[in-house]
Amino acid sequence: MILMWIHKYKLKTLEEFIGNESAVKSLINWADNWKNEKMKAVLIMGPTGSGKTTITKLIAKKLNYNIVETNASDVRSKKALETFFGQSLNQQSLFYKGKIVLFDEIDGISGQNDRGAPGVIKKIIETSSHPIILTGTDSGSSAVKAIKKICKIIKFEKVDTDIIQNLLKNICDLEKVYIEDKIIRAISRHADGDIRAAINDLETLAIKGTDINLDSVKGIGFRDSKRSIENILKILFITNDANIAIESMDNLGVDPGEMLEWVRENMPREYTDKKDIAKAYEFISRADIFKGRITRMQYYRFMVYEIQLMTAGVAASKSEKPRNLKSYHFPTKIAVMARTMFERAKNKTNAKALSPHIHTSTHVAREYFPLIKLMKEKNPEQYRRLSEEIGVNI
Amino acid sequence: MIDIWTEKYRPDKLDDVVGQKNITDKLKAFAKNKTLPHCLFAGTAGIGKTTSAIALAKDLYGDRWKSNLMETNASDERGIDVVRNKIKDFAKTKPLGADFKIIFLDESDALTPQAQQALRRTMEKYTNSTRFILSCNYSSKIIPPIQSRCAVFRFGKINNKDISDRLKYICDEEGVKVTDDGMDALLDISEGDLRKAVNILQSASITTKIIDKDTIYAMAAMLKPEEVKEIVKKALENDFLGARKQLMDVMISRGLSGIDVIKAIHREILILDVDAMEKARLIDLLGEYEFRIVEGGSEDIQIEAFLANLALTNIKK
Repeated sequence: MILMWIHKYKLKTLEEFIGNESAVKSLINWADNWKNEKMKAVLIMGPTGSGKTTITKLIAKKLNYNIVETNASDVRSKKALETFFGQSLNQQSLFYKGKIVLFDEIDGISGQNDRGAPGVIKKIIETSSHPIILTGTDSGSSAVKAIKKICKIIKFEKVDTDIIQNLLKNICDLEKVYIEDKIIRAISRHADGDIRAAINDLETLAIKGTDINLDSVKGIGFRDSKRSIENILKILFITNDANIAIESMDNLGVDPGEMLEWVRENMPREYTDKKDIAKAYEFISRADIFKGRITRMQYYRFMVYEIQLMTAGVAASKSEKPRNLKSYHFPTKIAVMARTMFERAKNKTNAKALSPHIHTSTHVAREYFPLIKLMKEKNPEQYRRLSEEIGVNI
Repeated sequence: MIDIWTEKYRPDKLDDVVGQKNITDKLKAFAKNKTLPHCLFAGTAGIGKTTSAIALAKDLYGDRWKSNLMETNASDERGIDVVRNKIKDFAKTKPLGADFKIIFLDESDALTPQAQQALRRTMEKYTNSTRFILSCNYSSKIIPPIQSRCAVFRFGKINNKDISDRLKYICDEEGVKVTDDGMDALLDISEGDLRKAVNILQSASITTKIIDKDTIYAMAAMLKPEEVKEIVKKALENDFLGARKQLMDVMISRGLSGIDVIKAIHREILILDVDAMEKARLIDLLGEYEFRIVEGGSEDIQIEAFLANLALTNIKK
């Protein structure tokens, strides 16, 4: 089984955790002594990949707590939160273990779907009979503002480049790959305090094998959405493990609809066997249907199936080794949509102007565009009159 | 009157509606008695549902038809609330010189079952002052409680004779001529959809006054048999990327709908040289992907999935 390094080298005990010592110490003290603490919740603020979630899980393990968790990839509407926490907090856990509530990435709460959520979280904090840990990166986000007064705030800093460097060296030793020190140093610096990014980059470079030099470190580029997408693609085209494929999209903030386009564009370029392509396309087709159902029924939980079918389904469809491409094609569909954005907006306006005059929906009104275009081209005078009368501008 | 033939030649009287005599006779009787039940007009595109509703309103209300008829479209309104508010506002004002007004809700099968439940309550609430005419493509998508409150009228496809008579009438009025093979081509492409036929005819008339088969096919945004053959061939020869690129090109550049492409592929499959079982498998598959499009899947992704599957076909050598 191929396990991503980020999972393979997940920390197992609290003692292994490195960096942010004083913050970690005060967090342990708070959790240990929770019943007597003034603040019943802790908000860990710190940059991505500094270990906020990891430390919470390790502390829970150490103190023998179960974790009740929600993060940005779950739907966090007011109602969903109320049902979720209502159920899971009132259930006695097996063997009467205590519970820690973890609200991961609360900056992810925003906008339409999560409306009312900060209020519910506040209420949960105020009334909880369990310790609550929240994590966040952006102190300006509305969710953070709403709750910071009733939380103990613990700040995590970026992880030191030296610490990252040592970590990467250890992994290289365990994996028996040889990479020069100055390159490991470059990867560490490049990661800018984000351990997760550093390990992922190291693995990507090691997968590519052969020439690892300073240029290839530059080649991994800055961590932006395209970079994340390419990482995900790489993983799910290579792995045979359903869970690894599914987790590849976790916490990266990639839009599932956009991801589906990347998978669809590149899968037939990566896979070689026509049976594999057909099988994988079947899963893409199913994912696409769930995507349609989300819009039609406004039922967001379907997104889980959309994501898992496009990742695990596509990953599981291969029988032959993938080509392992060096780079991926930008999705044709997205490129076309961007190119035709102006035209599509214009079409919409025209359809709206036209439809009442011909007693149809805007959808049917579009069937008249070729006729009107032709009129404009061959019979400008007739077109001018029509255009004045109904305000279309084809 | 705008210079679009489907409007210019839209019949004003129920008597002039083409090819739906059984239905228009009943509607005429309603108009004569100044009474009307809620109605459900079911049938495919371009066969006279909207035209009949407007003609009925003209018959009932004469010059005041516009103030007593509200046309609204379920597929363009963002939710049942919009529909409901619009309907409420309209229903609240008194009918002008009549006992009731008419609300014509087009494409009502675009409403979700929940929205239809809400609509049903609205229908009941304003039943004193308002009659609903719902139109839809598939009556099966309308919930039973609404169907049971409506007189259901099934609009059939208009037969070729009626269509060609109407087209000839328009040609005479406009001073253009369609050759015999041109007329056959028009009937072939429009498949009983008079709106489509008139649209193609007007487009053709802009380029030439004597319209033949070639002009008609050039006007119809149709996938040419050679193009589909090419796409299918590439898929069968294991050139999936080539097939996909060509499919995208025709769909994007010509704005073809997924259903049009599927129809064209369907014709191609029927003449494919494969054994009977394999052919049956492909027909079933194609149907499945068409179903998925109707279910809300993306046209391009679903057709591509079919092409990927088509590549697995055993071709007779």
